[in-house]
Order: sequence, then structure tokens, then C-alpha cells
Amino acid sequence: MRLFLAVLVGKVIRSIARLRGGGSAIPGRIAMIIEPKLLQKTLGSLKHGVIFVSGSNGKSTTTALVAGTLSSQGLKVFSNPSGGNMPQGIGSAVIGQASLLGKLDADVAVLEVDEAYGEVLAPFIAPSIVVLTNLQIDQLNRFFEPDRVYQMLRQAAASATRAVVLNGSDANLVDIGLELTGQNVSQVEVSKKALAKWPEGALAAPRFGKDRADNSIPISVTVSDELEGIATLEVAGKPISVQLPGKGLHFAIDTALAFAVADQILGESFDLESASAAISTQQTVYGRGEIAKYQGVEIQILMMKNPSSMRATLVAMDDPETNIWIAMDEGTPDPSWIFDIDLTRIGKQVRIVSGSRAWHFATRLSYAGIAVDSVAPDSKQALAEYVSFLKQNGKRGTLLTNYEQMMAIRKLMGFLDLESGK
Amino acid sequence: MTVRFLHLFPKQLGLNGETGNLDCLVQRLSWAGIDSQVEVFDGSGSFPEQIDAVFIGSGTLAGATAALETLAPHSSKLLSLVETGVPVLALGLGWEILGKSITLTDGRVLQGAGVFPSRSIRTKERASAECFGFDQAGTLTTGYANHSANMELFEGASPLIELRAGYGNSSTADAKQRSDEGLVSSNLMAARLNGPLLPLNPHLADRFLEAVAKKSGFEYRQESKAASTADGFASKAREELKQRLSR
Repeated sequence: MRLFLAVLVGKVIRSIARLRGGGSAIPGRIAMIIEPKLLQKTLGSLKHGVIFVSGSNGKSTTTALVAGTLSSQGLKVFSNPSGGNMPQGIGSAVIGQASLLGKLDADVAVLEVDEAYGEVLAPFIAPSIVVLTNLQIDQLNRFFEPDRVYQMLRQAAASATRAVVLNGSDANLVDIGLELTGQNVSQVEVSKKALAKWPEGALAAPRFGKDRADNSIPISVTVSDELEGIATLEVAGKPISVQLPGKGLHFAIDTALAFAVADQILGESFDLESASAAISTQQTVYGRGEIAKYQGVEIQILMMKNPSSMRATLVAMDDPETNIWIAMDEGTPDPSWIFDIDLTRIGKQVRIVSGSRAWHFATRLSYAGIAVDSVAPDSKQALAEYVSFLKQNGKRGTLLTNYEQMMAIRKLMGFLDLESGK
Repeated sequence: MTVRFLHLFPKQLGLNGETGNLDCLVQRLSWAGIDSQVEVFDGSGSFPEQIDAVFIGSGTLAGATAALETLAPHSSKLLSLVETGVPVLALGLGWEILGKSITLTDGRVLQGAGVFPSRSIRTKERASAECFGFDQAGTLTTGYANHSANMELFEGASPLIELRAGYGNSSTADAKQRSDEGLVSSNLMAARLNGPLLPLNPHLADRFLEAVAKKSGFEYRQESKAASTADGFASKAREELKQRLSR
């Protein structure tokens, strides 16, 4: 009865919230006040259990790729939308898809889980498999030091009832894998050739004073190569070529992690060809290269959350000489890291810098010798200015933005469905 | 004249935009028509000689502890540089390891390099917030505090900035009260604000560069158009932060 009420109230609030275009965590928060066991009751009895995807970067993309790969194998997959990776956000997603009786029509759930919430969620819904993407420098204002994130990810991995799949090119994750005793741990290996080409695709946060043990974790999938957005992977000795959602080694590693999960669940019946075909038609998660069409112009939206994601984004950016708009606000509480990034790919000029951090970012650009045409802290004014510039210029634009400004600007452009990114 | 900077432990202590601080010094010199060169010491090579200024940045406690161990056998060389009057700028945990000692939360005491007249007492609490205040000349100074140690200044040292909001030398004080941040003492300057500190607060960068110029006997005057553009942006960034925190 409580579950019914929770889902009903949640669904009503959700439809109101979606009309207004915001607040994806609110329905979940309220439903979980009515039924604190919402997640256990809806996700607790799926055939292949619940998969957690965690790490500093690539969570959303990897979650989408795991879901896409498992769907291609005929499994019914429930997943939380990009960014909604804390308990209430997951609750909101469950409410969106569950029947009024709280039943989810799914064989497996693939959940993007915030680094700090793996250990919070695990007592409620024990994951069958935990996927770790990487441990990079991220949100130091919140996590303080990479060493703390290491402990969080280790805790999350240790809660897996069955298996842990990790990115073996990140030495921190290898250490976590070697520490685990109760799980079947396997890794995605990245070939030296691929690493040499894309050092930006694999930037482990440095940890000091630790002796590195030998990486003896069994290899499940190998990333042999990445060339212009096409990866060559090797799964159990079989090579397969995959068209990635974008250029860059990070996309190849994320895809390899997805294949490693499918290999873990399906074993010999994992059909590589259909998985590869499904990935090649998969759309980019928004903020990772999505092209927004607005008032007759096209704006590619690229997100910069932290140094690693920004480096990877800049390296994979299509046209370095494109007309760039940079937006950042206090959703990035400490933007110091923007001074650690090589901005050569941006070129010599940025059209507009906006958001409350506009002046801060403009200072950074001046030290890199990049001219700033216009500083407009107000997003609405910046959008209008940028669109009129693109209209005169006839070129496609590129928006480099933090998460909060991406949401605000998408809303200004009239994209109300913030959950699914359509 | 080529100004030779010594950057201590760029890898171990390079977390909060630290490249930006050194780039700022190098770039401002270049804008003023002065060449510079950065030497690195991280234990892998010998300790560089003929140094005009020393810079050390912030990082994690694990990184700082590793750096301190590596530095220990060479600290006399660093100390003799400092005694000859070479300016040193230390930020965050870099400042802590160049102090007299670090008291850890379990009570253990690490011997610091002894360059700065200060010591740190690590706290379990973490301070993480935007800050603003004024330096000794009354110039608006801003940054981001992210630390867990109380800094004690010894005789001969005075604070660099008086904060009106945020966390200064104490990680456990009330963020709304006035507090002292950083340290100045003859040729030494230290702070714990990120931003990075120098590009966002060019008055501090120039103060440090003027000390370097005086010691090494060259003239530093910042009149370039590039600096005026960058400093104009930085001034507006500081003003925006102050307005927002004052609301």
C-alpha cells in the first residue's frame, strides 16, 4: 500500500516537474519519504540484479553503454538517466518506469552511482556487479583528496555480491581490485599502442607513498587500438571493431567495460556482432557531444566537469578553430583546475564567456594568450549574442560548459526533458 | 637577465591549479620583457643552483609526506638559499612542509623543512569555501579555501591577508568572522587560497616579483597591455565573488 502511494504521488509530482522543466530528484525524494524501501522493493528482485557504475569520469557514458550492450542481447534493462546518480535521482527514475503497483518490467538494472553514494546505496540494494571507470582528480571542494575517493570506490566495489569489472589502465583501480577478496574481479586492459596515442584518455589521479603491486587481475576485454572514433577490442580472444559514441580512448575504455559486463553476465552466449552494431547507433549522452539545434543554428555541447574530462573533451573536439562559447558558474565551486589544462586546442580566440565564473575563466584565457571577444555573465544574454553571431557567421558553434550551466542553457533553449536529454 | 625559478615537487604538490601560479609569474615577467626559466626539484635529479626564486604548491597529505621525505636530505641547501634572501612562495601543503613541524591528527609530529616561521596542526575538520578579504595594502583578495590544518605563525611573521569571509589560517574557525590568512616574513610569502591565487590576485604576484627583482638586481615594471586585460578580468572576478558572498 505504501509502495503504491509512493509511486502514485511520485508520478504526479514528476509530471508537474517535467512541465516546468526541472528538479529531477524531487519526485524520488518525496516518494522515498512515503516508502523508504522504494528502491529495495522495486529493484530488489530483478533476474540479473543491479549493476552499479561508479568512478570520477565516464559514469553516464558507461552506464548508457552497459545498458545498450545488454539490450542488444535481448535483456530488458532499467537505467537511471544521466546525472541522476544519487538515491533520490534513482528513485525518480524508478517512479517514471514502474507500474503503479511498483513493478519494473526489467531483467537487470544499470545504475550510474555517485562516488560517495555507492556505500550509501549498497545496504539497500546490494549490487551484483560493480563497474569502476577511473579515479581522477574531481570535485576537490567536495571530496578534498583523491585518497578519500579511493576508499569510497573500494567500499562500493566490496559490496558487489558477484563481480567487479574495472579499468585496468588506472593504477588506483588496480590497487582496489587487488585488495578485494570476496568478488570475482576482472579488468579491461589497454594496449601500450592505444595508451601512447591517447594519454589524455587515461589520467589516473596520483597517489603517493603506496607501493604498487603487480597487476595480476584477470583480463576480460582488451582495448587494442582506437582510431578516429573506431575501437578495436578483444573479448575472450575474439577481435571486434566498434564505432564509438565519440573520438577518444576514454570512449573505447567505457565500451570495453560494457562488453566486460555483458561477458560476465552472458558468458559464451554474448553476441559481439549485435553488441557492436547496437553501440554504433547509440546516441551520445547529452553534454558529451550532443548537437543542439536552436533558432536555425547548431551548437555542439561539450561538458567540462574536472581536469580529466576537460582534457579529454578538448582533445576529441572536432574543429579546434570553431567558434567557442564557454559557460561556467558557481556549480564549479573551485575552478582552480582550469589553470592546469593546456588550452592550445581552443585556438586564439573565444567568442563569449558566460556564467558567474565568466571573469574567472576570462582571466585564465588571457594567461593562455587567448583573446576573449565578449564577457556576458548572464546566460540568456550570452545565448542571444552567440546565436546572432552564429547566424551572421553561418558556422556551427561549440559550447564548453559545466554541468549546471549546461542544464540552465538547455532550459533556455526550450529542452524541457532534462532527464532523458531529448 | 634570465630569472631562474625553482619549482619544488610539481608532481607531488600540483593539485589545485598550481601550474597556473607559476605560469602567472613567468607570463608576467615575459609581458614585462624579462626572460625566465623553471628548474624542477622532485628528488629525481640534483638540487638546482643559482636560483632567483622558489615556488612550492599545494597537494594531498600523502603527496606532501612523500615530498617531505625526499626533501629532508636536501633541506640545508634550501635553507641556505633562503638565508641569502631568495624569495620563497609556498601555498597549501607546500607551506606546511616548509614550516617547522606538522602535527598529525593521531598526535605524531613530522619535522618540517624549517624554512617558514610557522607550524601546522592537522585537524579532522575540513574547511572548504570561497573566501574574500584584503591584503596589507587594502587590495581586495579572493580565493578558495580547501584545507584541514590550523596554521600557527611564529615571531617575525605576520598574516598576508585579512579575510572577511571564508577560512584562513584556522580550518576550524567561524567562516563568517574576520580571520588571518597566509604569512609574510622578509623574503617569505605563504597562503592557502586556491584560485589559483596569483592570476586572480595579480597584486600578490607583482609583490612577489618585485621582491625577486630587488634581490636579483633587475627592474620589474608591469605596464603591458596584456597584463592590463588579464588584471581587468581578474579584478571583476574578485568583485563578483565579494558581491556574491556579501549578499
